[in-house]
Amino acid sequence: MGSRSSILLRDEEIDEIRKETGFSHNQIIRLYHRFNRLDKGNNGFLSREDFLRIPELAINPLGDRIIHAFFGISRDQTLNFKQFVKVLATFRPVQDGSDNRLNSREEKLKFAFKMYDVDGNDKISRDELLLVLQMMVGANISEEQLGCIADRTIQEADGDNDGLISFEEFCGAMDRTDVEQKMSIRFLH
Amino acid sequence: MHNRVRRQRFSGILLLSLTLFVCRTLAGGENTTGIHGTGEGPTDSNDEHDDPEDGRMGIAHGHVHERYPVAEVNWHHVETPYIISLWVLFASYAKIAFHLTEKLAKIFPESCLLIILGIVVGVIIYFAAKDVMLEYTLDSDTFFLFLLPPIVLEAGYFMPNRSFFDNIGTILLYAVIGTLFNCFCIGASLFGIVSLGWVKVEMDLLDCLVFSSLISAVDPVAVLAVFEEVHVNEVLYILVFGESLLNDAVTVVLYRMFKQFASMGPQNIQAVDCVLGVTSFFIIGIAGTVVGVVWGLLTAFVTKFTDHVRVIEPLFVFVMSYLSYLTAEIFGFSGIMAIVFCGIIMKKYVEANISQKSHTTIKYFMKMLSSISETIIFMFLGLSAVRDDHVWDVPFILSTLFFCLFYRAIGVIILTALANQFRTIKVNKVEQFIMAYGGLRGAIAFSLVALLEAPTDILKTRKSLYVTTCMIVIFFTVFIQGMTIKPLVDKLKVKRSNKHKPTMGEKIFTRLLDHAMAGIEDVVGSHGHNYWRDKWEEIDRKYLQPLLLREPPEAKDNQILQVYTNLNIKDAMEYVKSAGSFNIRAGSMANFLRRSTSAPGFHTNNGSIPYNVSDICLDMHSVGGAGEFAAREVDDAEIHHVSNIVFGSMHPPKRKHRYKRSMKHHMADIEQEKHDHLLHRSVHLHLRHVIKQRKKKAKMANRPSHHSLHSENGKHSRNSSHAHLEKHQGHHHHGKTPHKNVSFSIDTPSSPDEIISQVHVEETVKEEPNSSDEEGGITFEARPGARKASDTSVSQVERQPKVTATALELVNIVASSVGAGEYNGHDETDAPASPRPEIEPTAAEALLPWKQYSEPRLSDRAREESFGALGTPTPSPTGSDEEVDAAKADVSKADGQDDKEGLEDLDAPDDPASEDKVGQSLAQSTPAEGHFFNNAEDDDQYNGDDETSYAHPRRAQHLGDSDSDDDVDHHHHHHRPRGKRRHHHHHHHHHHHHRHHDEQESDSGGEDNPCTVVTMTTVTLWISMPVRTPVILWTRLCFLTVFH
Repeated sequence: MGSRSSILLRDEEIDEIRKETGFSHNQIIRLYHRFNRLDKGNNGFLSREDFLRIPELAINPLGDRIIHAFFGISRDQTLNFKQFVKVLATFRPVQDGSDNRLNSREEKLKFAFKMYDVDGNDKISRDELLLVLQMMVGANISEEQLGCIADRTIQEADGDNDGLISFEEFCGAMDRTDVEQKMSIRFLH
Repeated sequence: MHNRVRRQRFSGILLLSLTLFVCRTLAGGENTTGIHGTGEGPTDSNDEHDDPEDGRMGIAHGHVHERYPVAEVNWHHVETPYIISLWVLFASYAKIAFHLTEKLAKIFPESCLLIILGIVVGVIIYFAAKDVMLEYTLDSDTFFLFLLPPIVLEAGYFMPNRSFFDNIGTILLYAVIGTLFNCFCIGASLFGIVSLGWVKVEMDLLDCLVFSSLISAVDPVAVLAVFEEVHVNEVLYILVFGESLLNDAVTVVLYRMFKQFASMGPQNIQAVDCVLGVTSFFIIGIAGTVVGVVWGLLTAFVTKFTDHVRVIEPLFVFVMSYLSYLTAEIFGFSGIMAIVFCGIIMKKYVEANISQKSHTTIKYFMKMLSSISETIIFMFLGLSAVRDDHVWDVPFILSTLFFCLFYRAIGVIILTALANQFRTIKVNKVEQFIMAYGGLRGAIAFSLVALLEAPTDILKTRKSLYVTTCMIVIFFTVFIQGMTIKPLVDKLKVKRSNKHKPTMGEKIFTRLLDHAMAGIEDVVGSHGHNYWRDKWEEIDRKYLQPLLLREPPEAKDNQILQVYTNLNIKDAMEYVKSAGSFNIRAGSMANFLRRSTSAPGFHTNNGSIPYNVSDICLDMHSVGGAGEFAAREVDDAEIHHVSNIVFGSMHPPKRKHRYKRSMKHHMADIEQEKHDHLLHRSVHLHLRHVIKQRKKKAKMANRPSHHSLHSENGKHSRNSSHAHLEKHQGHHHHGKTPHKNVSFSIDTPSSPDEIISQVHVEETVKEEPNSSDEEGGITFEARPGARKASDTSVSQVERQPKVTATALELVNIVASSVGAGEYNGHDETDAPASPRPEIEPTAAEALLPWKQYSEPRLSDRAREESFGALGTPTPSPTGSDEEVDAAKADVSKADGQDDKEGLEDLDAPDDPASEDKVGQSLAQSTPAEGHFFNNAEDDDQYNGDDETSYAHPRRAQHLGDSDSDDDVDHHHHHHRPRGKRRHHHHHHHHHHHHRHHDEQESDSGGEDNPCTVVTMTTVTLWISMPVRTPVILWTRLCFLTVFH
């Protein structure tokens, strides 16, 4: 199976992806396997349905938002391997020295921001925040409490008092959070 | 101070030594009656047998020689506990003293100072009473049974779980492999040294390994003591500290195994023994963990049922975790791992189950116990160092020290290289250095050495050598490394921990990330720790929480909510700190309430009312006069009192009504309620802030118009204002009267002066219409009686010549506060508060805003709009409508342009997210919380001038930096500026009024005039509610936070 995938992926492509994303050769091949496994229809691209078929993701309270953010970069509803890897490259650990645009703090935050930003207008509104909150806590907290929490959150971050959180404001609010650490996962070599 | 402290400490030492000496003398020099260490270990059984005998003999002695002992000395009876207590006391003194000596504390970690102190005391005792010297050493049983568990429990209970489990792999690697590596390397190297003939004391490989097994383990107590003062980042901290905790199993196994092997003799050891040893390692470690987890879950389960016996809640936590330790020790499992995991596991559930007070108790008690244990441990380490039988085999000692450091460094480097292969976040070089450097040895090693049996002379010498070496290693690591690690951390720029309470956004963000990263891992198809955390949380949610938590894991347990509450508490505290006036008023309020509630004839006896009022005025006066007053001091007693009265009497209705919609809040448990109320109050507070911000612009623009009204010269003729008022009343048929309410209520001007000025404002009735104009809408007075009252008071005041009007003014103040009180009361309780017997509910109540608040608010806007469309001034269900309405009315009176501006501002959403109109800030809140919103808004209105201080603390901060008053002047309610101005112009009046009030108090006895009725009503209402919002809120918050 592995051979099949790696045959499909040409070395030049791998090289290109490697340069762009910083993934190692093996990692890219590994991801390509994964990509093919997810691509049930063998279309060469992933649809939202393919993502939703991942069992854990389907039950992830924010699964929907994660997929949304995943598709954020491609306006159409599909994701080819390059795009797939590019999104995943966001979550590469930040290494000293090997500085890569794709896994910078800003890119990581951008992904998180996209998870909030339902309508894609580059602002988080109260409703959007509330939606995410509701997804996360389920029925644990009453609507009114959530509302207050959302208000408070916006209030904290809202620098220009427009009741919306822009990406800059978002970054500012997360200033003290160790995003590099929290938004990194380990890719097997 | 420095000198004083030193002297103090010195005299303390002298005192103690003296005491001990005297004790010994009293004890008659018996050689066995002392204590070992703190002297309770089972090995002291001999002593314990002796003690009672001695005691009895003493008593018998007394009886033989005297008829009846007037007084007798029963020293033996109390000796052991007495000496223990003295030690604890002394250790605590020492702790105090160290923290007084800033210079010392800066250079030395506390552990060093304690060791030094121990040595000093040891030397003194050594010369004073050499024969007892040996008794004051760190006793192994005492250490393991009594001193160690509290420290480890605290470590486990307050373990940063998240980072602990995130790094568990690395920690285990260091703890298990690292310790093994160290042990064998040090052991082998020492044997090498011995084989070279450099060491005079004879020992074989096993002896070396026994020693290396105990010296190689990093000590949690020492690490904790040093790293607590060096605030390195959490990952680094958890790596070192976690290792020191989890290596216990390894240490125990190795120590026992080698000891056993050594006693068996090398020739008898077979491979099977080694296999068994390895097996036992897993058993000891894993079984210890299991024991801890089981006890932890048990504890959590038990606390599920303690809601009627809150007092003993902390006991369960302590006793059961201690039992987990002891249980593990029974079977020879790792007690440390047991108690650590017990603490880790139980914490989450226990905290959700127990009351806030119990939680605080646990927290403090745990910290106290561990702190004092630590103190005693280090002191006794110092004490134990003073002894005769040191064996100074320099090559052995030095090489041990060298190997300890060397192999620690090697081990860390190798293992980190290994761990980094698997870690997302690599451990960098600097961190590796600190890890290696932080490998401190401590009391566990010493206690283990002390446990070595030494029946023969050779063994004794060897043991003494071990003890000496161990001491040197401990002292070196604790002193040299402990002292230099802080500068090193600074110098190497190790990432520090940025410990702060997470903001709301951060908390939500973190939560989001947990899910997101788990999701990404799912996509990638690798199962990292995000995956496992996710799995664990699912199990936790599905099975553990329902089983272990008293209530379903709802709001209370939710971390997000917790953070939210904490943030609000913090804000509140900051506010209370920044605006100290609150306390004073809380105090005066306490007096007021006490008196009023305790006065039986209160409702009928008018005389008492002015008294109360004037009392408050006087309080305020004194505040104004004294300026600072003791404002910053939180008077707990007073606040407590207020809270008792206020909460006690006012919560019931609130619970009934406010929570109608959220059934889950139906809990009889007061603690629970406190929590919920807290939340609601925070919500309230918060909303107020939101609204205020929203309104700010409107108000600013609006202000000029009102301002002109007020400020023209503040001399609106009474008639005109009255006309204005009546006109306004005309709008509000349905038996409702707009009440002005410059809140005399305690609600909070940001400075005492403002209170006074407020009183002045109220005294000058003519100004009121303005404000009632603005606020009339909100103050729906549902009770005809009350309305009449305020009308009467107003008109009466108008009829009175100003100079003699004080009594009536007073009444008016109160009357005006009816509005505030009334409304606030409803805000807070959503129902008529209890002490208001004379008021009958009227049909109009059906129209009361607060009645409608209890209904779903979804339709509010629609309703508002329909009202608007009708164009009638009918009382609309929300204060916001009223406000708009009122604002319009007001505006119509004022200059046209200003009006327009004001209206525009009112109407124009200054926030895209908000819908239209001022009242629409409702849109900010979910429909369901409309009442909060209104609540906030109303308070806003009523306490207009209090805004800054009273409102959201953040706001207070924002505004109040240097010029909160002025700032407010510019931003807020009209009567605020006016109030201020009043204050400036009429400050002297104030004194007048006080006098008047006092007079009235004395002579306003039994007349049954409208005034008194009004006064009665008002005051009653006022008591029932007014203060509520602010005082309750702040008291509660104070409360909780003070103990938090």
